[in-house]
Amino acid sequence: MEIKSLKVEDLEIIVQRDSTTLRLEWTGSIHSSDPGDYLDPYFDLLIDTAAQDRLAIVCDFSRLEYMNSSSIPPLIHLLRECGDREIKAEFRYDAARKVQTASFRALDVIARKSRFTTVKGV
Amino acid sequence: MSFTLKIEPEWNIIKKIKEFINSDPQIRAQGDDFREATLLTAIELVENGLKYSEGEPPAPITFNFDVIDNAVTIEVRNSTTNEKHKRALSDTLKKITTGNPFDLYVERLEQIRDNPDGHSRMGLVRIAYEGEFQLDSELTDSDRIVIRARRSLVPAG
Repeated sequence: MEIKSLKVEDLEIIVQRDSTTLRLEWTGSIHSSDPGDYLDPYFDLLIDTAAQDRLAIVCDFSRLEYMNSSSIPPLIHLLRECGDREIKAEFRYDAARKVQTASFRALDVIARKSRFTTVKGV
Repeated sequence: MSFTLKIEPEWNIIKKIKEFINSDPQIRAQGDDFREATLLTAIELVENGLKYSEGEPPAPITFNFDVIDNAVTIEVRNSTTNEKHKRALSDTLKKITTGNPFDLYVERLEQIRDNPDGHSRMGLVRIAYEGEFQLDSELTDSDRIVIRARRSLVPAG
């Protein structure tokens, strides 16, 4: 399976793949009223690809300008699915940005419920 | 050739609000963290107002942004006749103003994880926790809802 980069409205997710990892670099902003419409199926494909090819997932949000609160359920879905299917996943954020640090500090509480998921400031 | 796009009505509004806040000299003088917190608060308040306004298309909402008395005040007014929504809003605001925003935020994340219902319902909690704005509201017997967020400016050093 091949997972491609995604561009929807003002959001762009650029995917890079090597022998061990799928790296997703998030840029732009998410303002959609229901980003789950496109993120949930994209994440399902991402998870299936990672599981089949035994790859880790790294999501780098440090350059993401803004995500609205409707973006949070899809991210929780991704963390939960990675934990349940024993796929190593790491969310990275910009620790120098206070608002982003607050968001991901809270997501870290959820990520810590599985030994496969982590949240890391960079 | 035909071309069809589903245009979300809030996008242009949010774009205007972002441009205004990003170019406000008093906000810019407070630094990027304050600017990002102000943007988050303004956008979440507007999205909240749009989501919970009655009608199709939704009734107009009023957005007001002020920097006076060394504080930013952002206010959104909308209308709803949905009593269930007004009660839920009142309960949420009461929890936020009397509880710990971080605990409320994590509690909601855990609810989404364990019982996903496709909704976030985190906008106001984000304003309190991530944005560090103080919230207050006017929920009267009329259809009007006013939600106000306020944060003091940091004195210039």
